[in-house]
Amino acid sequence: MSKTAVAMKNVSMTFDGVQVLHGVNLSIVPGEIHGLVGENGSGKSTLVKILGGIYKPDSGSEVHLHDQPVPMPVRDPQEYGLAIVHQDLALVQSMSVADNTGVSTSYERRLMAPINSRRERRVVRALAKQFGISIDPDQLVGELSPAEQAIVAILRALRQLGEGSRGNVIVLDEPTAALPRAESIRLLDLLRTMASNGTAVLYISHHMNEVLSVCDRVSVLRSGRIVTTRDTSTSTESEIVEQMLGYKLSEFYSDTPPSSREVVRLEVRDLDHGPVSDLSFRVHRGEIVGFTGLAGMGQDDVPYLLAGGGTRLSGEVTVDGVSVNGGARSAKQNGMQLVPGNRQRDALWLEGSASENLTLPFLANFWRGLRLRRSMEREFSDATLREFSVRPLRPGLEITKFSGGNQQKVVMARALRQKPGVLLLHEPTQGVDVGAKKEILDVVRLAAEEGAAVVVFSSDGEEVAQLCNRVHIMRYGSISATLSDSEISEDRILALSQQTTISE
Amino acid sequence: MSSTTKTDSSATVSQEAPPTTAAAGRLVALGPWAVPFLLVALFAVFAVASPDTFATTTNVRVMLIGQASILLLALAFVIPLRAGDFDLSVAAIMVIVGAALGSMTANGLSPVAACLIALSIGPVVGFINGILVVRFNINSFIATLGTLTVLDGFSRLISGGALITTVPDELVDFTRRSLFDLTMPVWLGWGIALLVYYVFEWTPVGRYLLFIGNNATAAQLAGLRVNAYRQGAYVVSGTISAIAGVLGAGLLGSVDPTASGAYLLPPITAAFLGASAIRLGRFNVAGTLVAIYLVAVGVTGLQMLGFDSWIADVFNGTFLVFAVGLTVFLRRRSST
Repeated sequence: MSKTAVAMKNVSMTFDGVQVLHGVNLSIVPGEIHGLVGENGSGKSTLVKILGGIYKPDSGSEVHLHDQPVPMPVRDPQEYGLAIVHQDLALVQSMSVADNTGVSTSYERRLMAPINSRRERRVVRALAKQFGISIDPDQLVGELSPAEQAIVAILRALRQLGEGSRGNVIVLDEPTAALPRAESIRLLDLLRTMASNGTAVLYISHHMNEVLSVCDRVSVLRSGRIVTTRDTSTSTESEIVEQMLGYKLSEFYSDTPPSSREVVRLEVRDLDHGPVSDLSFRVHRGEIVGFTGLAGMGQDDVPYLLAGGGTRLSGEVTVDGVSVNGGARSAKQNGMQLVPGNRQRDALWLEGSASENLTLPFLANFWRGLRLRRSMEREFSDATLREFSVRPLRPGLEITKFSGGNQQKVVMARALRQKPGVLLLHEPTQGVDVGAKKEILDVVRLAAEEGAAVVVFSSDGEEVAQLCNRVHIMRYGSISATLSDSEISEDRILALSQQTTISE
Repeated sequence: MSSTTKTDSSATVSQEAPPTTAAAGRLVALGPWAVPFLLVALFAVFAVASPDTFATTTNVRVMLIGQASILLLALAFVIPLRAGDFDLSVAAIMVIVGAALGSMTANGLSPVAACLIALSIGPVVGFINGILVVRFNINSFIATLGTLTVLDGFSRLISGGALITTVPDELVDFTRRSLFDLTMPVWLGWGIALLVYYVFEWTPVGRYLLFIGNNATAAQLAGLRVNAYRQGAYVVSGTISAIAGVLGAGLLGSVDPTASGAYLLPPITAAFLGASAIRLGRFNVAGTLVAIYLVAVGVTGLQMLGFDSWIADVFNGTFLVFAVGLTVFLRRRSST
């Protein structure tokens, strides 16, 4: 086996005269899990795309795979034993596990030869077994949990690489960004097994604690430069975050202010629908309440039953004493705002600009004298985007050109500028980098201080612990445990979430 | 993240592509003004090629009047399209309105009553289209392809399959009345175009339709009455198609019950080619107008150079595909 699985030497990349990577050096040995962290826009994705052959780096850049120099741009990286699993897993939901892994290798058959389904099942089972996973090859991918889907994507990559003698390299680009924390543990186990078989893994993630627990070494990318590469055993989370940002993030989270708990703004009684059963709770003025739990326990459905047009079978929801029917309009009219978890699918007009996405609910205010006053609209979006520190501050730029964190800020700004009495947040910081995450959470706190009742539905135990005055842990559709103020800690939340399945 | 990845990678691919010719490169650099420029350029070329026939005020007048029905149909088509829905039945509505009008006149109804009843067919059919697409969630392409065919059948039933010549004289007189040498349908078409332009660009509704057309789920969650807007777009579309039917009958003095096929593609071409002009990637009125006249100039010019009428179909079909390709290409360029 080779000495180094991946060696990138002096890799630079320039787009339209703007240098985004500056002489990056990175090496990974077989059997190593190497973490790569950095803020959005620091160059992680560019680096991955160079490995995948999508970008051609500047001349002078060298990439060696298994001690072999690779001509640039990289053609057919799998020929060199390298496979990349992207964040959007590119699986076909309506096809089986076996088919999803088979298509990338043409089922190891000639084009017109019939597919041998029995062999397919055997191949997939054997592959899964090798990594200690049990998976049904005939199951449709759409029926799997997000973590299992990520595992299928990895299995597909492994199958693509085949049984090479040279050892394999797998690049994982934020595979757990969309996963509940408890689920991503399964994925991390898979990584460890792969590494122990001699596979080199490049692991890109926003979750510092995952990186520290699973990786052997970690490299920090800031503004296109590797600022440090160090052993994870001698690093702390705050050190790495500091390196990422380039400045000290003093007091990453301030203490949650005590809430008054006097005026009830949101009251939910006996809510019943789908995975949610018999759910009742109250949220007071100025309070931040968290809902968390294992995947599929109903917490992800609640916000949409309250304000997303989900029809409910029974139960009553009142906002400031007024009954709402669960539709988006009814919610909005009574001062309840929902910030959906999947912003690209549920919140944004992807072909529109940041400004157009922001001003949508306010257009009626700019309609004066029978026409839309563009100057008023521009003033409003300039001021709002600046206040919510959206970067770059270019309101006319297409929303998709912004990083995930800044897109989320636009969605948050849209909700908060409507001065909601009740703010529902579903996974508010999913796929958002550390700096933007802090800014978003600060905004949430401010909204609560100004009197809103905030409900956060999140699988990120850390976020919930640091943000909330009260945390409800959900189990099979209703609340199984509640932590208040000083009782709240990430460990307890995780333990209580897990416990529900153990006791069952 | 994933969608930005897509544009990034495609951008790099186009960078590596062999350099386009200088002329094409300059055209692309015009971005949203490429299609308007093409209109001017094409006009100039034909004006030089046939100065005695093409570059005359009579010819320009004939072209403008000849496109009046297409213009109305294109507006009818572009309204639901902005909200993300196809309405293939616009031409069929136009024809059945004309056929009904002729048949009612033949049966002795007063011209005004006949016109009003015929006009009311439009919003009714539009409403039915809306119910099928919005309420029953049938794919809009399929649903309106269905109503298109059904309406064509009814048009033949009403007319007995023959050309209808019983168009009221009052209507013929009205539509042939001219102002600055241009007949009423042209002015009405431009008036309605101005109205739709105003709604699209200067009212919140225009923005809402775009949002709905791009991401109906997000629009719904943002609290927009998505279904009401989509339904409304179909009703307005049907109404404008019906106006096209009445004016068309007056303009020609007769109604061909089998004509809808010939009017199917030009509005679609205009709408899609229009989306590659003025406001890139957005269905808009100004672009649609430019597109209509671009195709008209192309077809007329070629016919004057001796091409037969078949050139119209070839031109329309080619430009429809060209339009969609051009939008993709121009947007890719502008996004780097």
